[in-house]
Order: sequence, then C-alpha cells, then structure tokens
Amino acid sequence: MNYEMKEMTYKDAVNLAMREEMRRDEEVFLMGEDVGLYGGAFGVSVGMLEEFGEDRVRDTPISEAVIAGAGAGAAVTGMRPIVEIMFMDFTTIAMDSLVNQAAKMRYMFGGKAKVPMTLRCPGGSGTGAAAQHSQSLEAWFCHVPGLKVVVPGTAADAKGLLKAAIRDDNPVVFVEQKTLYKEKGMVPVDEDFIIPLGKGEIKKEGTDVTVVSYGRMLPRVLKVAEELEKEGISVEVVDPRTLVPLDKEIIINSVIKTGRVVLVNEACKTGGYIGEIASVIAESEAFDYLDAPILRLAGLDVPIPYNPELEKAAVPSEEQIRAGILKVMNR
Amino acid sequence: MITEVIMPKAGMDMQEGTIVKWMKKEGEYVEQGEVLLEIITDKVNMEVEAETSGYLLKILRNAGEKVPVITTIGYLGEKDDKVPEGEGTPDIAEDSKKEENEEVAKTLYKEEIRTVSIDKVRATPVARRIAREKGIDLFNIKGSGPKGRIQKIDVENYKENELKVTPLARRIAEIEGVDINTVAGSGLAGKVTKEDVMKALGKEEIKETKEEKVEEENTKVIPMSNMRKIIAQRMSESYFTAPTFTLNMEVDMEKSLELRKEVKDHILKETGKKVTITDIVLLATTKALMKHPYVNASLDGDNIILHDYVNLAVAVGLDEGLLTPVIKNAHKMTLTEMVIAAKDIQERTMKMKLSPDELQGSTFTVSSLGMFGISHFNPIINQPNSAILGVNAITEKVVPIDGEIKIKPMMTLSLTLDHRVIDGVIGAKFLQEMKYLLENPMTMLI
Amino acid sequence: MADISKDILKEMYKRMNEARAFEEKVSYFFARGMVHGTTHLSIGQEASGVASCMALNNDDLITSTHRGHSQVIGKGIDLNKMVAELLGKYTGYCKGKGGSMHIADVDAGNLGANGVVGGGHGISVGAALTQQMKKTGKIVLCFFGDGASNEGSFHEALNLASVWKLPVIFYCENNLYGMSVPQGKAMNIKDVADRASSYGIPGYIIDGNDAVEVYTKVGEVAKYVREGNGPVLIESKTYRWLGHSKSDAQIYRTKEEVEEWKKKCPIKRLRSYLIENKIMTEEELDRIEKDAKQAIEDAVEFANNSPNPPIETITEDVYA
Repeated sequence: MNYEMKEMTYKDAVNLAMREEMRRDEEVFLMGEDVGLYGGAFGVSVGMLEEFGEDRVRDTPISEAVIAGAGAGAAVTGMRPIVEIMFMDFTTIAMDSLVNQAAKMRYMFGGKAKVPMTLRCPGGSGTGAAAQHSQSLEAWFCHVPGLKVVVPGTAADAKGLLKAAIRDDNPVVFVEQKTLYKEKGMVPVDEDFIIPLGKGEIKKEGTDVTVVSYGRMLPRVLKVAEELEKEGISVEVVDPRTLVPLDKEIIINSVIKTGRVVLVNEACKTGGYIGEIASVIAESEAFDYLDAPILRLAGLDVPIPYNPELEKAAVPSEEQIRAGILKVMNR
Repeated sequence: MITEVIMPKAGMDMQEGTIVKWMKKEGEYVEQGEVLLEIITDKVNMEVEAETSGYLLKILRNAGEKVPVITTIGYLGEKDDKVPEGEGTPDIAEDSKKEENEEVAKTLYKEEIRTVSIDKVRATPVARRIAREKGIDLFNIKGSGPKGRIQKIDVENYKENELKVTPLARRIAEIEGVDINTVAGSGLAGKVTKEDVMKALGKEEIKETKEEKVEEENTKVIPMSNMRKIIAQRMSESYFTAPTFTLNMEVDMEKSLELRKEVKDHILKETGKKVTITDIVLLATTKALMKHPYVNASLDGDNIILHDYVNLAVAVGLDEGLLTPVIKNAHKMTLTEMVIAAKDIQERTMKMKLSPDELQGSTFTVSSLGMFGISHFNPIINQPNSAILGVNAITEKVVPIDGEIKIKPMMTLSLTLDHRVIDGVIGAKFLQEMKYLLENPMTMLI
Repeated sequence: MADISKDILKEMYKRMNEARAFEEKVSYFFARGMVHGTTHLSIGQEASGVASCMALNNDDLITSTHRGHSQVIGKGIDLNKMVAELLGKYTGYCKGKGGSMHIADVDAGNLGANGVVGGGHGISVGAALTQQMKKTGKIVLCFFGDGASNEGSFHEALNLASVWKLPVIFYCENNLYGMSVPQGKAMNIKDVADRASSYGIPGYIIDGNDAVEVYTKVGEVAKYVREGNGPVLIESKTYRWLGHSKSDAQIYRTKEEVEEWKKKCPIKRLRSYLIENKIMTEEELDRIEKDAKQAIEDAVEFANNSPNPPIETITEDVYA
C-alpha cells in the first residue's frame, strides 16, 4: 500500500484511473469519438493513444448508438470496455443500447450474463455550450434497474470511483463534471486505491444542518458551509458520490443527527434525483427527527440558456445555497 | 381422437371473443389448417383454423355468442368418437404455488402502516415524536417556527404548568384580539375554554355575532368541508338504502333522576366527572342491547351479523359537523366506567383528537338532542348499524296514575330501525326493556 | 449437388422439423393462454434460421431476433430449457424471466434474442470486436429483418464493423413485411443487399427457403469473414406463413400470396432434395419428423413438470 498523495486535476485523475486499469487488465480498452490522437474533446485521454496504441484506444465514427451497443456486446463477451460519449446530452442517441440492452441483459437472461462496461460522459452547464451540451441527465439512468450511476465531485473521488466502475461487473454510467475537470485536489497514488460504489462520504462534519450534494454543486456547498461555520452554523456536508446504489445510511444518519436537511443538485428540479433522496429521508427513521421541512435546491426547469448571466441563473448559486440553509435554520 | 375447439387467446389482452360464423356444419370434415370459424376479438375479425383434421362433431357455442378465451366451443374427431358431456375443461397447467407466491409478494411490497391522529397542529416530525413520548399535548404548545410551527425546541422548553387553552378558545382569542393570558379558565384544571373567552369578550355566543355580520337578502356560497361531504354521503346512503321506521315510547324518568342525584357526589369524588342522564341512558342501552341482539346487529350484504358485545357510538355535534366516536366494549361497563368513557370520548371529539379506529366499528348509535328541548325526532341510522336511538328532552307532564293526576318528568325515546333486519315487534320489545330499566334503574346496578 | 455430408443434412432436417413442431406447439399453447405476453412465430423461415447457424462453427456467436425460435434451434439448443422458458418456468434458459423474446445462452454463443428491432446490431459489433481483439478466430452472425435495416443502428453498426474490419456477418431475413407494412412501402430498393455497397462490403442475396443454398453460401461467407476480410451482408429472402404476432388478422396480404409461399415450404423442399439425390429414404425422413415431434412433446412434459420461479427470485440478477 502506497500512502502517498499527489496534487492533480480532476481530469488527470480520470486519465490516471484509466491508464492504471488498462495497465493492470488487458481486457480494459477505451473507445469513443476523438479519444485517440485528439485526446478527447476535453483532453481527458491525452497521451493514452501513445501509451496503449490504436487497438486499445479506439477512435470511433460519430455513432453514439453503436458505440454504446458495441460496448455492451464487447462486455458481454469478455472485455471491459470504457466507452466515452463526448457530451452527456448525446447519450440520448445511445439510449436503446444502454437502457434496453446493457441494463437488462443479465436479468433477461436469468443471471447468465454480465456486462462490465463503463460509459463515461461529461455533464453539466457552465461552459456556454447552451441547451444541447450542458444537461445533467443522471436521474434518467438512475431510473433504470441494472445501471449504476456515479457522479464524482473531487479529483480523488474521480480516480477511486472510476477504477471501481471499471472493475465492476455491471454497466456503470460515470458522469464527469466539465467545470470540475481543471479543479485540483490531493489524490492517492496507490494503484489499488478504490472507492467502492455505493459508499458516500461526509465531506465536512457538522451538527446543525445536513446538506446532501454531489458533482459540480459540491465545491459550492463546501464553500458556503465554511462561511456559515464562522457565523455559528455548523453544516454537515454529505456527498453520496454514487447515486445508484445510494448510500442511504450515511444520509439518514446525518439527518437523524442534525434534524434539518437541504438537498442540492444542478439538474432540473422536476424529477431530479434529489427528489428521490428527499423521499428516502421522509420514508426512513430520520422522519421522526426532522425539525424543518426538507428543502431542495435544484436547477430551474428550463433548457440551459446561452447568455452567461442566464446560464448562471439556471443552476443554484452560492448565494441561493446560503439562503436555503438559513431558511431551513429559521434564520 | 377427440379434440376440443376452443375460443383462442389471440393477443395478450384478449379476454373474450364473439363467434361470427362457423364455416363448417356439424358432421362436416375439416382439414388441418382449414378455416373452421370466424371470430371477432376486441380489435379485429379473425379466422380460426382447425388445429387437426377431423369431423366437426359438435358445436357448443353458436354464432353471435360472446365467449371467454380458452372456453371449449366445439369438438373435432373421428365419426364414431363420443362427444364428452357438458363443456370440456381446458388443459391448463395448475399453478399450485400461486397462493403462496401471492403471500410472498405481499411481503415484498409491505408498507409500514402508521396510525395518524387527526389533530391539526403545525409541528415538525421530531416535535411530534418527543411530545408523544413525553405525553405532552401539542395543542398546549406555542410554536416558534415559521407559521407558528412547533419545533423540537418548543417541546423541550414546554412546562406542564403553562396556561392550558382549548384550540377553539385560542382561535377565537386570536381572531378577536383577546390576550389569552388574561382570561380565567373554568375548564378542567383551569383550562381556558371557548365560554371563558366569550365571557371576556362580553359575548355569549359567537354564532350570533357572526350572523349579525351577514347582510340580509344576501346568500353565501360555502363549499362543503370534507367532514360535511362525508356526512352528506353517509347519511344519503343510509337514508336511501334502508327502509326505516321510527318507534317512540315515553319513559317516566323520575327514578333515574333520583338515582343520578344519589350517585352524583360519589362519582364526582371518584372520577372528577359529573354523571348525566345521558350516561344513565347509555348504560340502559347497553343492557337492553345485550338482550335484543338484532337491534345490535350489522348488515353486511345478505348477511346479518350479530355481535356478542356492544360498541356504542355517540353522536357528537361540532361546529363543522357531526362525528360518531365509539365507546368500545360498552357492555362491560359499570355506571362509573361509562361516565369516564363517555366524557373522555366527547372531550377528545370536541378537540378533534381521535384516532381513526375510534370512529369505526360501532354496533349501535345513540343521538341525544334532549339538551335542546327536542321532544321527538327520526334519527338516521349510522350504517352498518341496523338501528339508532334518539334521546329527547325530559319535560314535566301531567300523567294520570291510578285515577290520580300526577306531574312526572317524562322523556321520549325515538328508535329508528332498519326494516330489512328488524321488525316492529323486536323494536317495541327493545323499547319496553329500555323503559323498564330507566323506570327501575336500580336493576342496572345489580 | 452440393458437397454437404449426410450427417449435417440429417441434423439440418431434424432441427428444421423441431423448429416447425416447436412453433406449432407454441401456437397451440398461446391459444390456450399458457404462453402469456406475445410471441412471434417463424413457420416458413426454418431453412433461413437453421441452415445459416449450422454453417457456423459450434463456438461462433449469434445475436437473434424477436422471431428467433428457428435461429436458436439452428444454433443447437436444449429444447427442454427452451420450452420451459416459453412457459415461464424456473428451469428455462432465463429462469422464466426472459420469455420468447429473450431466449439467450451466452456460454453457448447465443447472445440473445431481442425485443427491440435493430437491438442486436450494436451488440454483434461489440461481440465481433472482442473476437478480433482477443484473436479467438470466432465470428459473429447478426440476425435481423428487412424492417430492422431501416433502423439507425443498422447504419451505425455496418459502418463501424466495416471500418474496423470486424468478423461479423449481417444476416437479413427478408420476409417481405415489417409487421403489416410491405417492404415496398418502407424502402425504395428491391434488395436489402444493395445497402452493402455504401459500407464498402460485399452483399449477397440467397433463397432463404433453400436450406442447401443457405448452408453453402453462409459457409463461404463465414470463411471469408474469419480470414479477417471484414463484414458481409447477406439477404435471405423468405416468408413468414403466420401473422406478425398472434393478434394479427393479416388484412394486409392475400390468402393467395400466403398459399403461394406455402408451396415453397422449406422443409418439403429439403426433403425432396434428400430423396431425389438419394441421400436419405422416405422412411428415414419420416422417422426424423416423428422424432422431432416427440422431442417437442418430451420438452413440453419437462416444462410442465418444472416449477415456476420462486417469487423471491424477482429481485435476483438485476446486478452482478
């Protein structure tokens, strides 16, 4: 076990996780649009073609349906493909392959198949790319039994979770966060550093109010929490990291401790995954400990607009998160 | 070999089909694959081909008939084959584990069922839980949260000796701007009641003040409250399904009044509650019901259900409607126990603090309008009960006894009966029993 | 006369008869409500499904379709498990969870029938990629219909397979109808095989009702594909005798048309071939037909005696 930590960006952490797993296991390979020489639309796979060659770092035609379908086909016959869809928005074209094929094969075939494929896609707004390149569609995938869904919010989580996703025997949708790609963090360099899927983390301990958040909203929540701490409000920040399977226990225990909870995500409010988390809390033991209504802070129910001010206003800001926490505290 | 011709299941949602036409007559030969008949499903016309070659020995269902799928509608076979008697049963594999599976299925979807109390206090879940655990009445707590929501901290800071106020009194005080802390309480343990607030306001009845505000010749449209709607529905259902008749009987209440006088102080000392004539009538009712089980019966479809216990519903009028809370196992009660039970359920009804199961399961209902001076009325049955007793006012009347004119406190009992269950004689005998018990109340105490 | 061994022809005749008997049994069960959901029967397409699979090596792979019973019987299947699956039994291929449209046997190379038209295209490409990367020498045969060739996945899959020279045969069973819509109303070309040229791969047309031709051509193509020359498109012209599914009243085609095709029965045709070329006798063939029916009866008995899946298994195998 190597206990060393190294500072690196979220993007480099994803790159490192892929490289380590491809070095470790010959059955792991990467395919997607422009992942080879170009290094991926966001440069996530830069240098991988050089290390592994064209056979294992494959540029595909612009064909999302067959990229995901071939991923499922390769996975069910013994490979461990990492499939990149350039923008989460384009998973719409790959939906049959993911939802009807990859997710259901094992169940439909009576448990006699496994589909160890990882589908990576960057989600979220904040890049000025407007309505068809900025969505947070994770809730769609969470609604399909057979898929696992991961949304890392830090560089270390990106590495540990991606390695776990690649080693997992199920199709995993791994949602990267475009605006976090350049965020730096301390990342364990150990090649067996794995964060098990389904295990959340308390990113900051607190006693007065719980904030559950993931992905791009996580750094905002943490910043607000630090500020409020100075003002005498102790905020506990819980990051589920994996949406399916969800670490219900860590959320419920935190809410039992604080009695108040705010849920924050970037995705549109209606039908968003934090609504599911709210239901989990309300149905659990934690209900009898709630001392204020559960509050959701989510993106507006609008397509992501182009104008930078409008774009910013479409998702929860630090000010809104702060106001939401204060509201739940009756301050 | 004989083969049955069936109404085929042609589609996953097909439940039945109609025979349009048989293409072959009985006795005719048909080749495998040849069209044997035409049917209409819920979607389309379809031809049904013979599954085997043979003679159409028998047509069981004719053109125009609507037949459930898989039903045998005819037989194919050799000329000398014998057609089975009756209708053949289809060859379907039995699913023996079905019931067992349904049981397991239930456990997969099992949900926790919680009893929800019908109080209307705004309080957080944790505040409710702590109040429940400490036995604190949330109605007595003032909430410090948004919209007066009671929070954990409010329950924790609550002290038992704080001012006790009924919710109605609190509402009136709020609307009328009376400082509740200045009002002297006349209720149990100094609880401030509606009357106390009205007194402080210098008004006797809030209703009158409200009516004054309504201008003459104006009509007001008031949407029915949920309670009103339920009453409307249940009363209509009862009124329009049960053929009823009402029997009236006068009872001399002299001895019952004497009994009340005698035991009043004792019971007050024992329980802190005043015994009323209604309590004595309730006790008499349970005794009489145990002797006349049909009056205590429930009607369930074609079945009359007799009970060997009495769950006595008592009609309680509220500002917004009417509830009939139930005194469970009333037949086991002594007069003292009846006083406690009746007072308790009435008080909690007024405060809307009943659990849903306290509003269910009655076998008989008593409705009293005596305090309003009503002399007789036709109460409507509280179904599934088969009868209801109306209790009227006690009025002094001139009564000839043994040729002498005497003045006696008389009360009429009005018994409405469901004629589907009870005939007049049984109702009359029940009232005779009531009359005997109330005129000889000491027999109830033996 | 084609150069096919008697053993293979005998087995082919047996499997085609089993497929026919199987479908007739399914039809019988469906009418009695014993097969729930819906089912798509392949009567008339037995040569196309069986002979093509028999031309593959045993360890080659296939992706099958919603009308896949002849295909998977052609691949070589345990009839007991197949009937049991259709009746939703625990002993079925998919433990009663898949049913008619999802018969699969991944270990034996059957990557599954598919309820989605065109759903197998991507999977077959991925499976072929595995064979190429692992250098297994195996190839993949992807079954689909004329209707599926209008799906976007068809285009994406053929294009990618061609670019990467993947070992996959795209095998189109053209039975002239996409449910009720005739081919002429759904595409402006007569032959699906024409589409091959736009991907730079060979496209062939075969008589899908001639088992000998199907076997011979698929065998040739399999050799070409196995040698690393990239994918091939084969269009097998055939016809389904029955409706699209069991609720189909078939108002879109004439009885005469159906009767015409019934005359081209693939089973009778193979039988004539075997007799005319003195490969097998009437008695031998009768015996095979009888055995095929009996095999289905035995499978039905096995299935009927099999338990239903325990309710507890409902949440099993969602995840590995």
